[in-house]
This record gives sequence, C-alpha cells and structure tokens, in this order.
Amino acid sequence: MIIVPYVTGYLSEHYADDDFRTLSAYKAKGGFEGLKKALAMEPEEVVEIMKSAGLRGRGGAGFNAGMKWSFMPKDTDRPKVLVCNGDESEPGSFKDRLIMERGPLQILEGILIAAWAVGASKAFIYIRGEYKEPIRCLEAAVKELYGARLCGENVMGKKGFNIDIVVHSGAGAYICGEETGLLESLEGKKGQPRKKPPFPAQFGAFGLPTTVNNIETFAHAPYILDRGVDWFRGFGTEKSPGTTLYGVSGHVERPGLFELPLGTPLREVIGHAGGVRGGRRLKGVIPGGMSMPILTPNDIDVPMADEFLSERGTHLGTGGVMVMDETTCMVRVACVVSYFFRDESCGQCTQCREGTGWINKICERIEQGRGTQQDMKLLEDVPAMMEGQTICAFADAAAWPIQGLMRHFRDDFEAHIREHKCPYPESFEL
Amino acid sequence: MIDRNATIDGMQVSIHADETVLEAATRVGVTIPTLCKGRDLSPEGGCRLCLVEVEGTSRPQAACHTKLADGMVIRTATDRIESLRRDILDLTLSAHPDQTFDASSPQTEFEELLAQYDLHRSSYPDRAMPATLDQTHPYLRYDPSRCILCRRCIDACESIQGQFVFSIESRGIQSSLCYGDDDSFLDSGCVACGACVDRCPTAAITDIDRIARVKSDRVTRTTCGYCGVGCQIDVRSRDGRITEIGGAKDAVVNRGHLCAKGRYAHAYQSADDRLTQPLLRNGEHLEPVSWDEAIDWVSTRILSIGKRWGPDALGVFTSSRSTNEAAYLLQKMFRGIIGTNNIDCCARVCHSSTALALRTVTGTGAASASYEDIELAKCIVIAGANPTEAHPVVGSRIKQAVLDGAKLIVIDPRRIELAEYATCFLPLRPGTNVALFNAMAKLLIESGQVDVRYLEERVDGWSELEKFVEGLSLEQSAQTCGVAPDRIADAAQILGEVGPALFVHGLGLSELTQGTESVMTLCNLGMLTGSIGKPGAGMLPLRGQNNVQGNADMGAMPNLVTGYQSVQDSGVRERVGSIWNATIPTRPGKTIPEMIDAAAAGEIRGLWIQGEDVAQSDPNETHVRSALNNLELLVVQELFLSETAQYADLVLPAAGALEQDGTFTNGERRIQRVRAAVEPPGQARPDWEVARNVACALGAHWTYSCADDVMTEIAAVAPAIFGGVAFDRLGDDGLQWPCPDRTHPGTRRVHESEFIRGRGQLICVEHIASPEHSVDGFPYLLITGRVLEHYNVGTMTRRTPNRTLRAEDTLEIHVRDAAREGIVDGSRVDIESQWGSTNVVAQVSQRVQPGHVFLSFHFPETHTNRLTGPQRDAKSNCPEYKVTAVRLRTPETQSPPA
Ligand SMILES: Cc1cc2nc3c(=O)[nH]c(=O)nc-3n(C[C@H](O)[C@H](O)[C@H](O)COP(=O)(O)O)c2cc1C
Ligand code: SF4
Ligand code: SF4
Ligand code: SF4
Ligand code: FES
Repeated sequence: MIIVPYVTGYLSEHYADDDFRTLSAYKAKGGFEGLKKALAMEPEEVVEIMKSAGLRGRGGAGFNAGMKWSFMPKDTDRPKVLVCNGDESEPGSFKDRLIMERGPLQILEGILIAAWAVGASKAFIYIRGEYKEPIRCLEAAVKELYGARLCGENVMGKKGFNIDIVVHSGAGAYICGEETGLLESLEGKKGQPRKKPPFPAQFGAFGLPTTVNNIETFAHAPYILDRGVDWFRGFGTEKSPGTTLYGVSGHVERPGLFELPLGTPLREVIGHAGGVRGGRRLKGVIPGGMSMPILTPNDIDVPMADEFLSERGTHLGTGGVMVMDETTCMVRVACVVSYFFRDESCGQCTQCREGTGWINKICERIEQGRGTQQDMKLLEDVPAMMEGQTICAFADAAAWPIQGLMRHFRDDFEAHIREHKCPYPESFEL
Repeated sequence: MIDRNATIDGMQVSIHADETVLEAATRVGVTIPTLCKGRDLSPEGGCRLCLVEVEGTSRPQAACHTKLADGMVIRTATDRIESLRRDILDLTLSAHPDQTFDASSPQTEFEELLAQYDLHRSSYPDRAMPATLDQTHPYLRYDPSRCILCRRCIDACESIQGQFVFSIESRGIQSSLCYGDDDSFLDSGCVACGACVDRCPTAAITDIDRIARVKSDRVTRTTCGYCGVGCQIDVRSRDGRITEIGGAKDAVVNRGHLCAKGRYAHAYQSADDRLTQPLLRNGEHLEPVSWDEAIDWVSTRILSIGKRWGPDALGVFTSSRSTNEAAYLLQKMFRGIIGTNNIDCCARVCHSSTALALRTVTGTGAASASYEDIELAKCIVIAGANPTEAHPVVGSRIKQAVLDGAKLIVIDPRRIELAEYATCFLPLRPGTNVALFNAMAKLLIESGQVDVRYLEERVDGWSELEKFVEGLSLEQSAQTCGVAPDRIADAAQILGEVGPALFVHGLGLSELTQGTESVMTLCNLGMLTGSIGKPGAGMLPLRGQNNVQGNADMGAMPNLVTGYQSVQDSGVRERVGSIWNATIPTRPGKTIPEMIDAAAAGEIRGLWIQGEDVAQSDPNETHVRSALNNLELLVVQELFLSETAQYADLVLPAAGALEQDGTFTNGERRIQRVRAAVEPPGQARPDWEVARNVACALGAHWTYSCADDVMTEIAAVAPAIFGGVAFDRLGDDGLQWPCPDRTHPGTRRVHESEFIRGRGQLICVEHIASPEHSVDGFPYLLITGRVLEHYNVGTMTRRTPNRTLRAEDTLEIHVRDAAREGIVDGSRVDIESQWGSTNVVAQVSQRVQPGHVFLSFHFPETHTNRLTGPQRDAKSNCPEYKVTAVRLRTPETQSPPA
C-alpha cells in the first residue's frame, strides 16, 4: 500500500518510516510514554482524562470513548475483556488497515492504556480475514510486546497488571464489524448481532464485561495520555476533537488517506486528493463510508465533523469520503450500494432481510429501465420501515444511503423510468 | 418504599423482576402480536412485530426482549405501530408465492395475524417461486415455501428436545432453514419429537399425518402406552379412527413434549392384522370362536387342570402394557379363585432386582424421587440406562438440565448419547457395577466427602462399610471394571463435591447376576452423599414399560399381594381374603423363569399370558419355546398373533392402550388415567373385562361394571399406599403413591424425613464375576437393549412407519474389533453364544468399547434371545440380558484355510 502524505496531525507522522513498527523505533518517537503516565495514575483518573478529552469512537457511531470505558462494571470479580474492532468492512473505508500496517504499536499501547483503565485482563484484536498483512503486522508487534514484557503479567513492572492480547482473524462478513456480531463471531458462532440490552459492558465476549473500540480509537489514546487533554483538543472542533484519517476515493486525482483535524471543510479534504478528476464537475459525495447518506455540491464547504454533517442529514461515519463526478448514474450507485447490503444483512430481522432484498431488486429494475411509479413509492416506504426498528444498526446503514439518493437525486430515478433505460453511458465505474 | 410501576396503554403495571414488556402486557391482559416469540420459548427478536412505543425514545422497542422498567410509558397499538406491523407482515408475506397462505380461513398463527391485519395479498410485485417440499421423513414434512424464518423451530429443537437439528444457512434474503450439514429431514439428527411442529407458526413443518387436515371430532386425554415415563397425550379421532396424537400442554410429566413413539407410532392400532375375535386351536389351526364359547372353554380347561394336577399347575403372567385394573383382577382370580400364587409380570425380567434392592435398603421398591427432581438436581448420575433412546422425554429433560449447568456422570459400557454431555463418563465392563460403586464409596469415605449428619441420623451400617472398603484396592477395582483409577476418582470427586445427586438407573444394573447388588451398592452412594429423600436428588429407576410399575404394585408377584403385602403374612391373607371373600394361598408362587422351567419340566400345565411375547423377549429362546410347546393349556391375550400366540390353545383379542379405560402407574409412582380414545376393533375387549368374565365363569360373583369399581376395591385392599386413590381424584395429572387417604395429596418424594423401613441400610458386598465373564472361546461380551425407534419386541412399533426410521436390529461392534474380525459395516455376521446362535447385520461403531458388542431385540427374525442364557440373579430371579459371552464368525473366518 502506498503511504499517502501525512498532512497535519500526529497519528501518521512517522508512517513513512518502516522502523516505526518496531518497539525500539516506536519508543524513540515517544512510544509508551502515554502508558507510563497512565500507569502512574489510578484507573479512574485515566477514564476521566479520556472522558474530558472527548475522543469520539472512530468505528462509525462516534461515541465518547472515555464514557464507554466508564460503563465497565467496577465491583465485579469476573474477568473483563477488551475487543479491538479491526473488521473494517465498510466500503470506502481503509484507514484502519493503514494504522495496523504502519502503527501497530500505537494500537497496542492504546489497548494497554484501556486495559489499565477498565481493569481488563484479556484483549482480542479482531481483524477481517482478508487483511493478511495487517494481521501479520499486529501478530509481530504483539510478539515483540510479550518479549519486552510489555504485555502478559505485571506489565511494566506494575504488580497485578496482567493483560493478554490475542490477534484473531475474522471469518469474513460485514456484519462481523457490528460489535455484537463481532462478539458472536469471536466466540466461534455465526456472526449475528445480539439483542440489546444487555450491552457488551454487562454481557460481552464469552458473557464477560467487555468494551469494544475501533482500531483508530485505541491508536489516539496514547497521545492523549502523553500530551494531555488540552493539546489534544487543540485539534478538531469542540465536539469532535483530534484528527482523523480521511480516506478519499472515487473520482479524484489522487485517492488516498489524509490525516487532518476533524472539522476540516470537505472542499479542503477533496483538495488534498487533487480535486475531482479531469476537471469534471462534482455530482455527489458520500462523506463517511457507504452507509452514510450522500451530500451534494451545495455541501462542499461543510466542516467534516459529525455535528455539522448531521445538520445535513448525514454523518461522518468512518471518514471514508467517496467522490462522484457528473458522469455518475445515481441509480447505478443505488444498485451497487443496495447489492452490498442485500448480501451482507445477517437476515434475523424481517425488515432488514426482506427490505434489503426488495430495495436491490427495485433499484436493478429501475436501472434496467423496467421501473414504475410503484417502485418509486416502495423505494420511499421500504427504507422508512427499516430505519430504527431492528436488532442492530445495519438496517439503518442499508436504508440511509437509499434515502439520501432518493432525496437528492430523484431526477436520475425518474429519468430511468421515463426513458425506460439508463440515460448514462456504459463506461460508468464507481 | 416507593412503589415502582410503569404504564401500558394507560394501565398502571407493577414491575416484576426480569419481566419483559410482553410478559407484563400479557399479565394485565394486553395482547401484543408476536411471530418469532413462541409461547414457551425465549425471544428470538427477529420478526419485529412486537414493537411498541416507549415514551421518551424515538425508536420503537421490541416488547419480547425489552425489560419493563420503572416509569416506562408504553403504548402498544398506536396508529404508527399498527401500520408498522401491517408493513412488517406485508414484507414477510412478500417473500412467498401467492396463495401460500390463506387469510380468509386461517389455520395457523401466521394466517390468523394476516386475517387480523386484513392482509390477503402482499403488495410487493414479482415474488418468489415455490420451493421444493421435503417429504423424506415418514412423520415430518418441511415446506420451505411456507417458512418465514422465525426460528422458533431452532429454539424448540435446542431448548426442549436438545437435538440441535436446525440452523440458518447463508444470510440476508438468501437465508434458509437447513438441517446443519444434512440434506434432508430423514438424514438429519431429528428424533421426531414434534416439538418444532407444535411451535411453527406457519405449518412449514408439519406432521405428515396431519396434512390431510381431517377435522377430528373428539379429543381424549389419556396416558401414552409406550414407556414408563407416562406422558400425557391428547388423542384426536374421527369416526373411531385416530387422526393425531399430541402432548398435553399442561401435563406435569411431559409439559406437552413427546417422543417419536408416543406422538407418531399409533398406526399399529388400526393395523390389518389386529386380532378381532377369539381363536381356538383345532389341531394345527387357530379357528375363530365366539366369546361365550371361548370363555366357556377356558374356564372348563382351568377347572379340569386344577382338579387333576392341583392349582399350582397353573400360572399367569400379567401384562405390563395393560392397566392396573386388569393386573389386579388377574392376580385376584389366580389367588382367590384358582388358588395359586404363580403370578408374575415382566418386571421379573427387567427391574425385579431394582425393586428388591430398593425395598431391602430403603423400604420401598420404587423411585424415591420424581421427574421434577431432574430440573432441581445439581448432579445427575446415569447408571446402566440410555434415557434419550429408551425414555426420550426424560432423556431430553436430563439433557436440558445438563445444558443448564447440572453436572452429569454417565456410567455405561456404551458411549450413549448423554455420554457426550457428561462431565465424567465411565465406560465400564458390563456386569462390573458392584466393583465400580464400591470403589467410589471407598473414595468418598476416605476423602471424608460423605454426609455425616445424614448417615448418623438416618442410616445403618456405616462403620461396617468403612471397614469393608478399607480392604478394597482401588487399582484392582479399576482393573475389574476396565476404567482408569483417576476417572473413577474424578467421578467420586464430582459426586462428593456437588452432591446430593439424582441417581437415574436402568436395566444395565438390574439385568445381571449381580443385579440386586448393583442397585444396593448404588444406593450406598445415594446414602453416603445424603441424597435419598432430598429435593433434586434420590433414586430414580427408569421403568421400561408403561405399566410395569403398576403391575408390581397390583400384586403381580409370586410373593406379594396388591400393595406389596406379603402372602406369607397371615394378617394380610385374612384381611385381603375377607374383602375378596376367598382364601389366599400361603406359599409364594413361582417367578416367570421358574414357571418356564416348570413348564418345560411338566410341572406347570396351564399358563395364561397376557400381552407379553415371551418367545421373543425372554432369555434362552430355544428353552422358552420348548416350554411353551410342552403346555397343556396356553391362553394368550394379545393385540396380534405374536410369536408366543402361535403356541396358544386359545388367543383372546385384546384392546390396546388407546382403546380402554383404567390407570397406568409411571416410573415416579404416578397413577394416571387411561381413557379409551377409540373403540377396540372387532370383538377385541379390554383385559380387565375378560378377567372378570372368566372369573364369573369359574364361579365368582364379580360385579365390577367399570374400571372405576376395580380401583375402589384396590384402595380398600391396600389402604397404606392406595387408600386415597379414586378415579374422581385422578384428574389430569393423577396421584403419586403412597396416598393413604382421600385428603392426601400424594407423595412426590419418598423417605423425606425418614426411610420407610425406619433406617436406611448400607450394604457390604463384593463384586462377583458373572459366569459369562470368562468363557473360553467366546471372547466378546454381548449387551442387549433397545433403540429409540422401537419398543421392546416391536409388536407395536414394527407396525408403524418407525420401520422406515429403522428397519432392522443391528449388531454394534467397535471399529477395531470389526477390523480384526474382517467385518465391514452392513455385512452379515454369525454370532454365537454357549446357548444359541443367530445371524445379524453388523454396524461398525465407536459407541461400544473394544471387546463389547450390542444388539437390540426388536425384530423376531433377529432372535437376539437365542444368545442370552440361563444366568439369573439369585435373589431376584432376574435374567442376565446384559452380559453374554459370544463369538463372531464371518464368511471368511468360516471358510476352511487354504
Ligand atoms: C453494520 C455495522 C458494521 C460495523 N462495522 C464496523 C467495523 O468494521 N469496524 C468498526 O470499528 N466498527 C464497526 N461498526 C461499529 C461497531 O458496532 C462499534 O460501534 C465500534 O466498533 C465501536 O468502536 P468505537 O466506539 O471506538 O467507534 C459497525 C456497526 C454496524 C452497525
Ligand atoms: S438489522 Fe439486519 S443485520 Fe442487524 S440484526 Fe437485523 S437483520 Fe441482522
Ligand atoms: S421433531 Fe424434535 S428433534 Fe426433530 S427437528 Fe423437530 S424439535 Fe428437533
Ligand atoms: S419452519 Fe416454521 S418455525 Fe421454523 S423458521 Fe420456518 S416458519 Fe419458523
Ligand atoms: S416477537 Fe418480538 S421480535 Fe418477534
């Protein structure tokens, strides 16, 4: 993978350096200072610091990480578990992969800090099976940590601070990224989200109290502990502090990952990728991975942080920015999107199982010029009955992008129905 | 304290711990539609039909898996919610071809919902094509076109039967129900319990016999006529024919659950070869006669044999399949009118050792515990029993208890299904139980893991046992039973730490030369761990046939009259004799094996055999057949012309379990009603009526007009245990004896505060090898027993589609032995013991240990009991079915060396 220019921030500062993956180089760049400081504090203090830092989870939902850590039960003698979510299956997202390949020790240090903070004695890093290289990098890094007694028993000489880290290769399904689907898969079962409550903090991996965080979320933690809340809040916005790795793909000149503070305007993010390819006009942008509703050129100056995006009916998600130029047929986009969700629904919930099927069927029909006005109505009704009513948020993720496309690009759909064919040239690619 | 409550549709509802919104709503009478949540199943959460509005949350919540919490304000049927539900049903319907479901005359839960929401057609265009039916199974059918993927069947199969047959293949709209890795219902691990059928809301899974949808006009609640579990069944019928059988939902014994036999195997009832009229021998042939003729003939013959050879030249075997009332009247007839105690029942050849052992050490020869102790148990010991096959409904309850965390110790030569669930499995050599139980007793005593208080307060013989086990060597015992010493130690440790324990035992203990001792030494463990009489613990022998318990209770024993009263006790003879207006003979009679020997020797000249096929079921078949041949008079009451009936001089057509009134007593001492669901075919008659009529022909003045009258007399004859039993009190779930008076609620657990015999008795007895254990030239030990699909000699099950499920008996042999003997799976082998030989099909398996082979005895052509020999338990007279030395010959080993 080509390492795309580090722009501004801290996470990817040393990603160009191959050695950064080794313990000595990582330490030389200040690695494990954060953990050292954390271990000098009471666990509760670490949680408080994380809370006030306001680090939002980078797995898509943007929940305050410190807050999540504070949900772990305190007065229990059951072992506690951390799970690091490296499933990264959201189309348009590829940031976690870069972090795993270039900064595995950042993730591991973050996990150790979290383990101290919540009292976990076991951590699982669940990585999607196709990510062979990331798995290799993390396995190597974990091995090095054990060698240096930075994990295992009495970590960093701290009596009683015991934490085992296991790298687990996933078995390949988008739904295994949903945290409870992941837990089932980790336990060796079919990846199917669990009914909540109980939430993982009460009943998680193997029934034990569990915290699940994204790869990137963990990777930020060492910097917060080492450099302080104020420093961290110096990046990004009030509600979304810190940087993130925006992954820009689609119709741009130089697709890639760019570390920028949260809240960087969309125009600037796309600008770092060289702008829309071939000088064409922008048609739409999916701002945060395929499950997020689309933006239009009118939104080009929106600050890329969740609080601003949600005002425009979408979310930051995983920060995977998918750019589409004027040649794009939005019905074909709908086909691609709905095909993905149709294939990936776990199938437990009626609306999601049948709804994703119908949405895809209808989109294909419209794209092939066989659509009717009844189909347009179904494309409005079906997503509406999927949203917010199912066991997990997958159904929302499947409904939202269709709702966004219907809201902003209804004309494209109508044109297909009117002309009984797709008005765009065949050469389209997403 | 502040009252905590919530509101459902404007009603104040109190908060109960752990209650879901759905449960609370149901409690206050609010109905919330559900699809994936079955009445007695845990929530699946997928259908989303039960969504309700909860004030303060923007998203609707699923009532079936949301807990009701303080202050919740819930609305279950707002316009938004109702239209949402309709949309969901519409989406569900959208996955099925038109006309799959019929909302205009709803037959299923799903169709009722469609009707309720007025949904007759899905509004989605271009829908799916029908999928292919799976009709491979003789009883069950799966129609994927009707499956709405609610997953109830998956949960039912897992959480009720414990069979794990189903799973969901693929995901999203590709999802479909599948049988794990298997391709069809028939190939799957399904044991045909029907639990999934009863819970499927769409009839995607159905019983084949129910598809025709013959509307039944009658439902009869009665007791299953197969094994001794005594499940309650609802028998539906129309025009005198059985249409279907289902489990009675509220029954304490089975809670709606049944097995493949009870639920489905009823075709024998209307089989073409049922006996429909009395048949009298005329030379080589049996020829139809009228009942009057038959009764006249038989009473004359009985009287003349009695006069010529004395009453002890006559004897009777009562039937464990028949009712208490029939058994009672037959033994009364033989004792009171004919004047002999030659009365026995097939309990002799199964649990006589168990009954004798329990009686000796505890004071009563029946289970101390009840089935409900299974769920209460923390530790279950299964010894010499294979409940999931022979007592399936109890087997599944045990499995569920273990899945819920109970510890399980399995002691059996074979790797029975429950061994897979065991915390500790001890595959001992057949017939070495005494050595094993003694070793465990030694370990318990020597590690101090005994219930000292219980032993001091309630039990005799502790110090003797302590001294006795001191002299035993663990290594030597381990050697004897072929189990590693540390395995035995593991088992003893679990027992010591987790006990009191529930001891579930079967014929693998009883049918041995040391049968009685096997059970007594097991009782030692029961007493050392303070288990007998405690909740979730005690002794629970699994009785084989539906009414084998009842037959013994009724006095179908040579030494005991009704209610276990000794014929040698003059007080008993006087009291019972005065009720009967008869003289009861003093000398105990002969047991079944003794009667057969006596018949062979010409001492017994006339036998009445009620519903028992001794020519197939009793050991040493050749000997049995020659004994039958030797009789002057053989009367057989039967459903079919059985192997035994072919030797009869008079065959009387009997009514089956589904055709008569009376009671059966199950293995937990529960006396339950049997009610006729249909009329017997032709002139077949209930056994008790025949006994009454013959007795009258013999000169008695018996005036019983119904089974009820007989029970009234039984209560008077044995007041200590049946005094309070009467038909009007039996209701749906019967009464567990002892039940001494009409206000007594029956007895769940015997020996609760003290043993019936006063103090329990620990027994010191050494292991003695069976003569079959080391017979030169016969290197294998044969174990005989039953399989799930069939019942005993198969008279009933072989006449049902269970034959498709299993068409023959097979000889299980370990892979290593098979390889050595040159036996391949499915090939025919000659098997030979000192007593006889037969030829069977081999099934290469890992269920048996090397050196052991297993053979069932369900098919007459197998002649399993040509192999079993004359060995018996000296105390109980129970034959040794479980250990026979055999050798095997294949065509290769027979061919002369080149
Ligand atoms: C359908 C679905 C897929 C998801 N996939 C991922 C994923 O691949 N990686 C990830 O980190 N989080 C994923 N999530 C979010 C997780 O459920 C969870 O919120 C996250 O791992 C928590 O970490 P964070 O709080 O650090 O973001 C997914 C959620 C849903 C509903
Ligand atoms: S919403 Fe979809 S993915 Fe999530 S549990 Fe339901 S069916 Fe599965
Ligand atoms: S009939 Fe019983 S065993 Fe067979 S699939 Fe249904 S629930 Fe499972
Ligand atoms: S077969 Fe019946 S119970 Fe099983 S998933 Fe389908 S509809 Fe539900
Ligand atoms: S009944 Fe609650 S989700 Fe199906």
